[in-house]
Amino acid sequence: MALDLAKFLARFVEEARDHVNRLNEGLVRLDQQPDDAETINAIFRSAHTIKGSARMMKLTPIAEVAHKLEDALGALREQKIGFSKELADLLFKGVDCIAAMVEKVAAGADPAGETGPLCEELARAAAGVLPAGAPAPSQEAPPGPAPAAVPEAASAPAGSQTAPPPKAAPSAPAGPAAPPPLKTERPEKKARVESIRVSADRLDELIRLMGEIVSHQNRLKRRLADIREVERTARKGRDLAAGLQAGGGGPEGRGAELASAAGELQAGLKQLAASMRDDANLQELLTAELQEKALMLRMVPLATVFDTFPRMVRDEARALGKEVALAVEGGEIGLDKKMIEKIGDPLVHMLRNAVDHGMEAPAVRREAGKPERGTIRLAACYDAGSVLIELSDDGGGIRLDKLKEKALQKKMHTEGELAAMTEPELLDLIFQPGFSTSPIITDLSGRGVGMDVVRRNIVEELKGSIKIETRPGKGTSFFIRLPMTLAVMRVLLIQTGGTTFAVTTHYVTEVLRVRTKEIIDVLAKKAIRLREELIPVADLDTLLGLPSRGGRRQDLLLLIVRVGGEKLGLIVEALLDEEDMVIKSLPAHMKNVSLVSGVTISGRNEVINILHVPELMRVAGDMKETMPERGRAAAARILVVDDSVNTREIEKSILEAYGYVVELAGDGQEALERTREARYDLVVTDVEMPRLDGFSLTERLRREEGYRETPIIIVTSREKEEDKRRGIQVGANAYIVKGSFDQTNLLETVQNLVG
Amino acid sequence: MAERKAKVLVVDDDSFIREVLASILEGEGYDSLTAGDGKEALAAFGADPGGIGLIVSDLNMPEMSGMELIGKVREAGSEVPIIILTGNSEISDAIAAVRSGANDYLEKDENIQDTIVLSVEKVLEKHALKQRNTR
Repeated sequence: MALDLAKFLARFVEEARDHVNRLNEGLVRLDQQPDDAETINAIFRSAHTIKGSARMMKLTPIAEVAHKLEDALGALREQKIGFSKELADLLFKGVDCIAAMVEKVAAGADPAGETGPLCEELARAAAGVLPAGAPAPSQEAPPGPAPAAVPEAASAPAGSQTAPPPKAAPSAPAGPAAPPPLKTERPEKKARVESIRVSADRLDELIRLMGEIVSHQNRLKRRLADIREVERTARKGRDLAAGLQAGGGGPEGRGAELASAAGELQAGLKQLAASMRDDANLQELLTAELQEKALMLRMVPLATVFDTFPRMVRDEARALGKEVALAVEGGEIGLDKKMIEKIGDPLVHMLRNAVDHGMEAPAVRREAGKPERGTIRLAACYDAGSVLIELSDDGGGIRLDKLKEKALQKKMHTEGELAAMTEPELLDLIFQPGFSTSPIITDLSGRGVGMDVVRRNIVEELKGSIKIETRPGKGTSFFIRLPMTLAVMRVLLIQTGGTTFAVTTHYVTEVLRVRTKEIIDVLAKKAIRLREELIPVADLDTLLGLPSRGGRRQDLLLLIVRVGGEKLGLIVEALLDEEDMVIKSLPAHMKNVSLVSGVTISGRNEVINILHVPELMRVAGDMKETMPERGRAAAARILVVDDSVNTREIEKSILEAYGYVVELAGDGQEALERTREARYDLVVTDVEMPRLDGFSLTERLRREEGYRETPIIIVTSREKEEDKRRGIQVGANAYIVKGSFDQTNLLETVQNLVG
Repeated sequence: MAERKAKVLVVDDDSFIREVLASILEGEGYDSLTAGDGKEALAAFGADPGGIGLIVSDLNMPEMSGMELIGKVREAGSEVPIIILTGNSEISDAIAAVRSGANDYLEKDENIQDTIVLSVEKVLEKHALKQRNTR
């Protein structure tokens, strides 16, 4: 008899997540418009629904918190209590607690947790008692007498349970006379279901197959060409036979017979080719439609990533004492699930940057005559066959003078180079590895990764592009353009060094034929002037280490490719075709072949390598680097401070392996002495050390004239948020937790800070 | 238990809850069908008044509330047993529901999986007894 509730668990989790999102969204909205009755109603219902279904599932702790949340929201709805930032923090805490427990359930664990204090706090809030003046992330509620009873407001008649759940709304008959839609047989029930869940793996498999079919379609067209070829041969045969017949009929007059047979053969083949062409055309149409529909199956609305952002922006802004509202548009725009999974992190990073650096403090905004509350707009739309995501803030804009200062400080460019740069070139600096305008690198903004990683994700992983526009005092906009899917891509098939390669078209800006003499020499490098722009040019076969078939040619075929703001002209032998092809990733053992990003199978069943354009660009750039030293400054000197001999020796060897000059100190005191004797470009320090700890060392260094701006990295096993904050307060530029400490982490951070 | 078990109409605007309830009851051998609000329930009931042996209904629903549903069913002269469920325990609701003709009143709490089964059994038994006596 007993019912197996397990089968409802997945559904419970899914719906609870949905309601958690709605709660978060609603609370963010309330935070900005505290008297929005409709929103209060909506989130009250969400809390109510979570409570109901959690009870059904005997998930008592979840039901408990949801219940208290519902009570507090009920009190708010009845205006028995007022809205405040403190209340919002508490409500958010409740939602977080539910979300965490739901995830536990999703992971197959028992959601039990210490919810008592939180429930008490919520109950007190519902009664109008808030932790007086308590800071936002307050600790557990102080032990105290719980209010005698849940106040009346708690059990407010839930008379507003109006909105039916969004999905699976049963199609109700209009009146009693309607045909009997409700029968007990199962099949009837199934008819009500409007959507079914399919595992992503099965979908992937389907799309992979679809891709094969699309490829096969191209193969079919090759076959058609083959038949035409045979038909031409048959025609030749027919003509020969006809000649034979005319020349006397051949032995025993068989010439006429032969001529007629050959004629029939040719005519038959011609007929076959014609009908096959019709078939192929029709099938091409159908395949194209199948491809489109299949890809649609894996489209997921951007809302799945966007939904968590308003809450994140709110928390981030509150932590920084700023007022920021996030306006989201276009959440309904669909994108391949594979891409949705990859776009979240870059967007989070950019949003944090926008709140952190883009947005000015309220006082500054007021002075500038802007509303104290800043606005970040995140909007998505379809545009010319791709998806365009715009992220704009109305903050201070990017200051070009600051960018220059930074580039100079990081020894990335000389003053002269910077003076010659155009605005887009300067803005492009923020995408350079190691360039981050953030004064502090925290784990929050992604282990100190910068916009370079953002761009790399968007360009290389998502095959998209990113562009910035900024206006001083008015704000900054980023435009991200993404293809709708990655499963099938348009490629150009080219030939160089006698081999066929593919280049995905999103890198290619144009293909042109130029006279050899138009290629000019600039600093011993080839380049071409194209519409007032000087674009470096390289022989693709040389880049790939293939035998050059160059010789002296009059004309050259030039493929202009672009990655970010950089362009490169690739000299190729021939342009073969442009096709939609299925991209296959490289087998694991070949993953380090950096010039090739994947393979595809041609209509003739050949494996064609897909060239990895960013890497080609880098290789072409390296060749440029062999030019007379452009004066990369002397290697940076680093002081490593740690009381463990082992740790400091390991850090030293890692850093030395990457060309840094490293000196050591055993504790803060020794480090302080050393910094007075010598000048270091960067300091890496442990926290817990005898005599003088890492925090104090940092604090002392910041007071010294010569070390006010010197990058300091704190490496520690202390993971607590407050330690991190302390590190930031004393003036460290980065805070690395040892647990997550591997050499790349430290190295990346060092490279970010001193280049 | 040779007799055929009754067909239960489960009415709740939360599709999750009505499906879990239906599933619980089916696990007990009852037939079930579901409706998302009072109006839908009434339509289902109207389509097959003799076939439905019991109604389990939420109180707060859009279109037509549980209370209204009780009224309409009783108005039509049906004696079909009705069990009311609700998310908020207020004794006044319970009284009102029973006054309007509900046979039992349950709170949707953690024990609902068990209480619903017991309540359905009890209510159906009483109803059968009453019918036998009035015959």
